[in-house]
Amino acid sequence: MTTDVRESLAEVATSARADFEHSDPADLTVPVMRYVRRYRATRFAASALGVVLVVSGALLGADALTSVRESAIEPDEPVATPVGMSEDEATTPWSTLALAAVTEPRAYGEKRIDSAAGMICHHSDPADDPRVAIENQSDPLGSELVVTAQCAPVWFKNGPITSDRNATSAITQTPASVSSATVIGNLSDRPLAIDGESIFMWIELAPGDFAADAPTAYPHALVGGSMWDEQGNISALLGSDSHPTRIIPGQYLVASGLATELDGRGPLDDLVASGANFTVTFWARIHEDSPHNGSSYLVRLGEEHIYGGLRS
Amino acid sequence: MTGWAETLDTLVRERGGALYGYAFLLTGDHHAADDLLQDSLVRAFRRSRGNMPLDAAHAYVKRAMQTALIDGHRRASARPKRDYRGADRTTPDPTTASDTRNALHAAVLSLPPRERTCVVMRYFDGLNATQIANELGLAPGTVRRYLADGVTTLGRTHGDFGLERDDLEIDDTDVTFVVHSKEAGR
Repeated sequence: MTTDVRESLAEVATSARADFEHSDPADLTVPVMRYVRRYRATRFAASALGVVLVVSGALLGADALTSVRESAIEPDEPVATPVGMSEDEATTPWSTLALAAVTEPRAYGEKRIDSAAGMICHHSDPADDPRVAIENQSDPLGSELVVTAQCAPVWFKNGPITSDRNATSAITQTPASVSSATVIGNLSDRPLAIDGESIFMWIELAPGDFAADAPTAYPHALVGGSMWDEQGNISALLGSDSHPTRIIPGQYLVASGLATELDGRGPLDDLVASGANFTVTFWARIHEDSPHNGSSYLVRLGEEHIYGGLRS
Repeated sequence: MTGWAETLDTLVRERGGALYGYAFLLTGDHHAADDLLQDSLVRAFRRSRGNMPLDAAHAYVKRAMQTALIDGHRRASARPKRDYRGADRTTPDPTTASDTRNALHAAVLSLPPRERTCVVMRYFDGLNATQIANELGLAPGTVRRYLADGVTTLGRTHGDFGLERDDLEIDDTDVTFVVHSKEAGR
C-alpha cells in the first residue's frame, strides 16, 4: 500500500496526465492563442516607439460630395423582427440590436461590392460595449487577469455610410510613414459623432491569416498580421474622446491619418523597407450624437489600401 | 504558425500532460486544473517574443501556476470552494493504495493555497525551502513556516507518511512575505 506522500502525489499527477493525454490539445491551445493575441493587440506600447497618428477633420457641405452620396448604398427594405426582439427594439435606430436586425451578416473575409462598408461588433446584450470587449483587471497585488467577451462582427447597410472616394494614401521611406485619408458621410437622418481619439489606422501584414503573429500596437496605429482571429473576432481596442466630432445628416467628414517613426528604427520602418505587401485601413468608434451617447459601433472607414513596401 | 504560437503548440503537445498533472495536483479538480493551466499559458505567452526554449516555457508555465495559487488571484468562479479548516477533521480510513493516495491528495488540497503550493513543491518537485522561496519570490522563512504548518496538519491527520521532520523547523528571523514584481512594465 502506498504510504509515502511523494509517491501519492506522483501517482495523482500521473493519473491526471493520462486523462489529459486522451484529450485534443487544440481544446487548450486554440483559446489560449486567441487570448494571447487579444492581449497583445491591446498593448499600446506607445511612447517609446514613437509612432503617432494625426487625425484631422473637415466638415464639407453635402453638395460638395454629391457623387459620394449617390454611390452610397440605399437603405434596405424593412426586415422582419428577429426572434426574441420586440418591435420597438427592432425599429429603434442605431441600437446594436436594431442594426443587427437590418444587417446582412457575411462570412468573414467576404467583402461588399461597393465602397460603403460598415461593421459592428454585435453583442447579445445591447448594453455591452460594441467594440471588442477586453478589459484588464488588476487584483490588489497587481497581478493581471485578462477578461474577454465574445463579439461577433457583422456588416450593416443602414449605418453610417463611408466612402474612400477622393481619398488619398501614401507611404514614404525616410522617415517611414504611412498616411491616408478617407471620407465619412452621414446619410442617416440622425446626427452622429466620431470620437477623434478612437480613430486608428490598422496596418495589416497578413489579412485573413489567422495564424499570423500578434501585432505590434502603437497608439492609433497597429502593425500586425491579421486583426481577425479564428472566430472572426476583432483584436483592436479603441479609445474614446469626451469631445467627439459631430456630423449632422448630409455632411461629410474627411479624416486623415499619419503614422510615422519619429526616432530610429521600428516595426513600421522595417515594414516599409521590407518590400512586403500590407494593407492599411481606417477604423473609428461612431456613435449616436445624443446626451446619452447611444450605442456605438466599430466602423471601418472606407476601403482598404494595399501597398508593397519600398525596398531600401 | 510562427514564434510563440509554435512554441505554445509544441509545449502543449509534448508537455501538456505533465503540466496538467501539476495543475491537478494543485487544484484537485479537473475544471479548475483546466482553468489554471489555461490562464498560466496565457500569462506565460502573452509577452514572450520569438521562440522560447521548450524547457524554459515549461518552467515558466509551471511557475505561473504556482504563483497564481500563491497570489490567490484565480477567478472565484473557477476556484474550487474549499473549507481550509477541513484538514483537522479529515479521518482517512485507507483500505487500498488508491484510497490512501486519494486521501493524502485530499489532505494536501485541504491546506490553504500557500501551504499547499509549498508542500507540493517540496514533496512533488523535490525542492528545499530555499529553492521554493526563490521560485515563488517569498522569503525562505516564510516558506519554512508554510511548510511547517502544512506538514503539521498533514502529520496530525495522516501520520508522517514520508513527511520530513526538518520541515517542521522554523527560523522566525525572516518570516516576511515579499511580493515580487508581477509583470514588468506596469
